[in-house]
Amino acid sequence: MIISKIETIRFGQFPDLIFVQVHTDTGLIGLGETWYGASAVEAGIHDHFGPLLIGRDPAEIERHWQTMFRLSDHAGYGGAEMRAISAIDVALWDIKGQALQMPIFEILGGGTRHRIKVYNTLGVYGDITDGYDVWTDPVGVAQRLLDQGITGMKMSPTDFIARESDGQVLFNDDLEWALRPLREIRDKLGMEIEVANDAHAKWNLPNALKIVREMEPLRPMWHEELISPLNEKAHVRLQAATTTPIAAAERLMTRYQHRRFIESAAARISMPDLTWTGGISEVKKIAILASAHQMPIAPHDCVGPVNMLACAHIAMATPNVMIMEYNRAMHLGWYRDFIEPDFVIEDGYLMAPTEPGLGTHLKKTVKERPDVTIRTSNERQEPWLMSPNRYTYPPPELQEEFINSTERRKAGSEAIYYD
Amino acid sequence: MKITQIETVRVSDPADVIWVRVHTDTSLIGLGETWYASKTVESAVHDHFAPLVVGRDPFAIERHWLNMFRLSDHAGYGGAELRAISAIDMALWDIKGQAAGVPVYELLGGAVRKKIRVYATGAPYLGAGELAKELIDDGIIAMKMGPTIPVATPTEGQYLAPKDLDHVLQPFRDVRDAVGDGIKIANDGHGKWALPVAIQIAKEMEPLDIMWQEDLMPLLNPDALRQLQDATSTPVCISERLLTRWQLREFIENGAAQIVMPDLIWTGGISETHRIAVMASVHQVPVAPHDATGPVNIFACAHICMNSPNAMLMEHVRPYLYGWYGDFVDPLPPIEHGWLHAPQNPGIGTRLRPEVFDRPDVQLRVSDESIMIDGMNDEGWEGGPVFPEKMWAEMEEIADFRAQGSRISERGFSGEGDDQ
Repeated sequence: MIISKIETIRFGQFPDLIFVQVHTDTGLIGLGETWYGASAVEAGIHDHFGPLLIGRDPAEIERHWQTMFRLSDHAGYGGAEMRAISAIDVALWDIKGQALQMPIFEILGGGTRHRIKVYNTLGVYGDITDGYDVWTDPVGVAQRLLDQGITGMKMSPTDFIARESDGQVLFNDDLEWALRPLREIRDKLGMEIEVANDAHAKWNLPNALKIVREMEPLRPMWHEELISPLNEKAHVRLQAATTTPIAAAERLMTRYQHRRFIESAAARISMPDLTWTGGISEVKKIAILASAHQMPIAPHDCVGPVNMLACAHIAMATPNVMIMEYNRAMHLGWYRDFIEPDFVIEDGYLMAPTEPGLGTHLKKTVKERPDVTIRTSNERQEPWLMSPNRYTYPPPELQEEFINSTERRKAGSEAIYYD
Repeated sequence: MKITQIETVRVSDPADVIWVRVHTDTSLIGLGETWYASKTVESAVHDHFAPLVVGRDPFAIERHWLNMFRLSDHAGYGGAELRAISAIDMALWDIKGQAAGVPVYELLGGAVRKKIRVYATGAPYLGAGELAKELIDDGIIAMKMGPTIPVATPTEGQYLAPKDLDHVLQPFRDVRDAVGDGIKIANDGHGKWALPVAIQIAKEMEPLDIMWQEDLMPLLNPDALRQLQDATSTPVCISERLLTRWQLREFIENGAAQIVMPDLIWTGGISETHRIAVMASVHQVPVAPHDATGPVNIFACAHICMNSPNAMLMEHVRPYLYGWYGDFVDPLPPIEHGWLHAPQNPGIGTRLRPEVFDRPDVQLRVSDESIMIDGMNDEGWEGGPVFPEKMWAEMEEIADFRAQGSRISERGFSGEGDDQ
């Protein structure tokens, strides 16, 4: 099987959402997705990574990941390129699963479970306005989730009060005001529902320390991004100041950045975003690394529908997955406009996908939307880092002379990593 | 698919090897292997782990690994139990690969390469230089020997006289005299020496350009080994005796070693070796899987090497490969002219020869579904490492869930492969 075409699909209405479809000569199509700055990702996929894959075997996922990562890391890995790699990686796993007629989690080692608990991040889309409602009717919001079997939620009570000083000054009064909804939930519902705090990296360290101390009696499930994850040592101080777990969050890219938080005890939960940090391949590796430190992962969502499916496969095959993020406003609001079948949330659990591969496809109507932008590549490009004509290499005659001078070099030159 | 039987196969010569065959209710049989104290492993496989595994779904490898590990770790993990887990894990991957119709490396994420260089372990005290020439002619670029091992015994590794050290360096000098830089040489110390002697050996060998110093000291203290690594420019290599990612972690994270050598059939099988390779990768440390055991191990390691970007070299012992391995497996490990190639057959890639079962010295033992009614199969024993009924119920649910298959299709799946 070879990869014949790479296609990206994005939309005017959702400028952050982008799907990638990897087509093969067998008719199998792999689906991937990422979120944020979709036009830059699109360029990354077509101008940088996609053409490397044309004509190559989609089964060699590990090799393709390495090549794409090295190509990107030549100028510092991260950002839109990492998101492009993530989306392509998911699509390659989808192809492999379909080809082997197995859900991806079977390939990743097989089920450790067939469902994973979800928590609901309070969002706003269409008829669902959890994010607004929690300020006026917090107990009602929590109770409606409990009625659906969902026993955890995530909110961002301190985002608004950080605005005035850009997180540099925090008055007791302001914090007390911001924590009112959570206090009301604890007063009325006790610990019936878990509540995680996501602060979107708005605070400096002393204010973050104040918040974790103040919130301690409210027993949050975790604190996520009270401060930006630019410095794990600041997080070591934060984690040391509280019994509440600190979650090292979605903006850490690859196992190499997660390593710093995992090994230094800067966090007690890892929260990789699969569609940003390197795809299924990389999240699996982050989970392995976390497992050596007896830490769970809790995959990030609030990005797109394919991410939920991809994370479902990780969760089914990985013992140290704690819980999965879910955003019912996005799910019920727009995810189902794009994929079918939908993923299944039942009694507060995300169920194991059962179809081969990822377990979903783009709806046919998606490409007919008036706001769609579709771009395809079908011409192969050689990765310049592996080119025999690299600017750091000797001229061809000298290369040949070197290679042919010993049996060892001759034999080795037949095993070039990527050609 | 359901596991119906676990069968062990061992012989009197070599007495250390033991194979585990996991039978299913289909025609598929998975093959695993381990090495060392095979009778103890046999007991662990049948008396300890088989009741956890028989009657279950062979595809749930990650779940089985965890169940077996937890059962064993109730009284401190390691030893024969971990070797039993390693062999069973390998057999489960073999089943899954066969069921999917692909070599196991495809399931680990696919290939980064289609062949890897091997090195040859073992050299005589006299004639190491001649051997080096022979290896080079056969396309082999690296060798390993352990000449310091015998001189450690008289002093229990606490002291090494300079003239004895000079004596054991002779084979290395022979190789350098015979082939110069034509071959890389590793030194294996088998964990014999105290720290000051280990440093003395490593320093004295430096001018001979040693590829790595492996297990000069017992692998008991990462801080002590770190002192050795700080004292020498030669990479320190660890170690087939370190079990699971949790032990290796300490030595990798503190910089005690620059090369990781897991033994797949001791440390937890294909699953755990894959995890160790991932962990090593974040420290930019290579993996060079251990061998000098049985033939199936080389196949299992081949799958790891094809999939792991940070695989460096694969060990093998030529007298085993061209000697007794052929009496037991078919095909032999695909090693040719210094390269181990990607196994081509689905699954692990080899089978026990039928003659093995007719040998007069063969010892077979089988655990079948009759063991499921015993002991701790379903609930553990009170106060022991309980696997709650709930957990087994969940595994049953997983099986049911899978059996339903197109459950989601019924909810309106209309996607097709083409034209999207």
